[in-house]
This record gives sequence, structure tokens and C-alpha cells, in this order.
Amino acid sequence: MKNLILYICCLIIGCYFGHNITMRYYPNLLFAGAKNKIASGENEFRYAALPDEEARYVVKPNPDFLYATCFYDLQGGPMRLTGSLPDSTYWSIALYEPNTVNFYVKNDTQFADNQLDLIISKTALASITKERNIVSPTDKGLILFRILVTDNSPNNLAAYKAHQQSIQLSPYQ
Amino acid sequence: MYKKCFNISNKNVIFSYFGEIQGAKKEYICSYCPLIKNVAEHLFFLNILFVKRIILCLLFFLTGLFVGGGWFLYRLQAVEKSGGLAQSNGNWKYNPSMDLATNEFRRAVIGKIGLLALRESEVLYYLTSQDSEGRPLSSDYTYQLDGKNFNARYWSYTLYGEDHFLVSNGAKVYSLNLDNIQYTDSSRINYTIFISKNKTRPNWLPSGEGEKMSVLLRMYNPERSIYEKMDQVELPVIHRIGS
Repeated sequence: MKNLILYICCLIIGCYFGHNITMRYYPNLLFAGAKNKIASGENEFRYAALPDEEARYVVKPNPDFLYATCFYDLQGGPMRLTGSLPDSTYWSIALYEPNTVNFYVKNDTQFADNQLDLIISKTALASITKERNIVSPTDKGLILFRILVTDNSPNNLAAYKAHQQSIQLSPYQ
Repeated sequence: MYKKCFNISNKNVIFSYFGEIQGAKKEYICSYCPLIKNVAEHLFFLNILFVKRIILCLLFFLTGLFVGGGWFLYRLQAVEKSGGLAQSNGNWKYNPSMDLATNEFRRAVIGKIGLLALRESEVLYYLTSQDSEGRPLSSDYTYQLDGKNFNARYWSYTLYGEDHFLVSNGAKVYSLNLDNIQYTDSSRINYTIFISKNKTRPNWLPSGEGEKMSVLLRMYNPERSIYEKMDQVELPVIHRIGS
């Protein structure tokens, strides 16, 4: 009888840990899955076309957005994020931890101009203004740009794609 | 003696058993295992039982880990089927807070149905997979959605399949937004969207073939008044109008 109680206790403790560990790391698995599907190298942007039914990297893509994604790694030091974004439409930059928490988001109206020049680091850099410095809570994460395209006529789309492809990540000297 | 030997893993019994061995009755009889003839062998046997118990504990613990993990996935699926978001506004579901840092279950749910979603300060998401009478949306039927303009910088309706990806259709139409929708009045307030397999009218969202669907309404940078009454925002009703 005592053995049975002991085994049941082990089972319950196992259930508790099994539930909570799966819950905690399930988003990390989804994030890793997305990383594999997007298949870009680290600190390298991938520029996607407007999503259609073939876009199966991340669930619920918005077909009105041009996405630019980059999985960053700060182990080699801070990184510099630059880009020339459009001034006539909504765009935003969002950063995510590997557990999918969105720790930073800003849109075009929250930047002084559309020439982006930001530094991503693990700790706040004294030499950089607070507005330019994004402090990442983790070494690794994801940068996701969204550029709204409500008029996808060829000329308009080409212009937006040029903006999209101007976004770059490079080591910060 | 028989019972003591059988309950060999109980510490108290073991001690009394040793006492008996050291007493007058020097002979050892183990009915559990007749091959055991002395204390050394008995201790060896005890060790085996102890190890066996540890192994059983580990097996039960590991079983528990799998059961717990399975229980979480079951919960996740149940929440996903019910829309996955916490609050309701009619048949639409939404999350008043998308701060996923502190709520692990919510983070997992949002990861499953809307990985890389933005915070509510940037965008509000309203999701429905039901018509006005609570029936699941299906590409077997035609639906009419009557709505009004929202006070937001950008809003759109997007149709997704059961797998949360865009619905496959030859027309390559997946969403309607504030700019490409056709309003029914000159003041650009009212509109009607039709969800069906084949195009019959303007503002058509193709529903593909054999799909269970959901409609996601996104509002980017909505006005403060919308945040203040997220559960009362006038959202469109989706009527099934034919097959």
C-alpha cells in the first residue's frame, strides 16, 4: 500500500512537471520550427514576398504585409540595424525572444524619420541614445519588419520591396 | 516469518527480521526466494528490491511527465478549438492583453494560433470561427458579413483555414482591408463582405474547398475609445445565407 502511494506520488509529480515543462518550452519549439522553415542564416535578413497560400512559415500571415525577418545572435557583440523605410505607409519593427515574447515594437509614427539606424545589444550602451538602443533580454531572438502594402500595383510593390531590401543587420563597431 | 520476509522492503520488518536471525533461530528461510540461504544473500536481495523500487518510481515519474505533457497539449487543443483567445465580443474572441511574458499558457496558445503576434498596444486581433448562430464556418456555405468602418489606422479581414494558413483559392484573394473594400455608402462607413467558394458579388473572400475557416479582424493603432470598450466594439455579424 505504501509503495502504491509512493508510485502515485511519483506519477503526480511527473504530471506536474510534464505539464509545466511542456507549457514553458512549447513556444520555444514553435520558434525553432519557424526558424528552420524560414531557413535564413543568423544575423541575415530574409525578405519575403507578399504572403499567399504557399506562405507556410508562420501561422496567420497577413497578405497585406511585406515581411523582413532576421534571427539575430548577440554573442559576437552588439549589432547595427539600418534601413530606409517608406514614408507613405504603415511599417513596424518588432523583436521577439526565443520564447516568442514580443519585447519591443515600434511603428513608423514613433520614429523621427524613415532612415533607421538602431543598435541591438544585451546591455544598454552609454555611447548610444536610448531611442537608438534596443536592449535584448536574450542573446538570440528575432527581428520582424512589417511593411503595409494596400496597393500592390507593380510599381508600388517594387518601391516597397526596395525599402524592404534596404533593411540590413551588421556588426556594430 | 513468512510475512516478514515477503514484506521485505519495509524497514521496520527488516530490522526485526535481523533480530530474529541473531537470536536463537540461526537458520534462514525465505519463502519469497528459497535460494536465499544467508544474511548476505538476503541483503543483496534487499538491494535488488530497493533498486527495483527506485526504478519503478522513475518509471512512474516518467509516465507522469508524458501524461502531463499530453494533458497540456489536450488543454491547448481545447482552447484552440474554442477560438484560443480569452474574451468574447459576440462570436468574436479577443485578448485584452497580449503581454505574454507572464502568462505561460496564454503564450503557448498564442504561439499555436498566431505565432509572432504583436502587443495589443500596436494591434487588436478579433477572431471568429462561427456564424451568427454559433455554427462553425465552413466553405460548404455562403456567408454575408455586414460591418462598419473602424477608427483605426489600418484594419483588415483575413480568411484562414483550419491550419491557420491562408485559404487556397484560384483568385488569390485572401483579405479585404479599409482601402480595397467597396463601401455601400459614399461616406465610406458601411460595407458587406461575402464569403463563398465562387465569386458572385463584390467584396468577395474565397472560401476554398472543404475548409473549416476562421476570420481574423486586425485593427492597427485603433483609437483609444476602442481600447476602452473592447468587449462592446460594434463587430460584424456573419450570417449564413446559402450553401
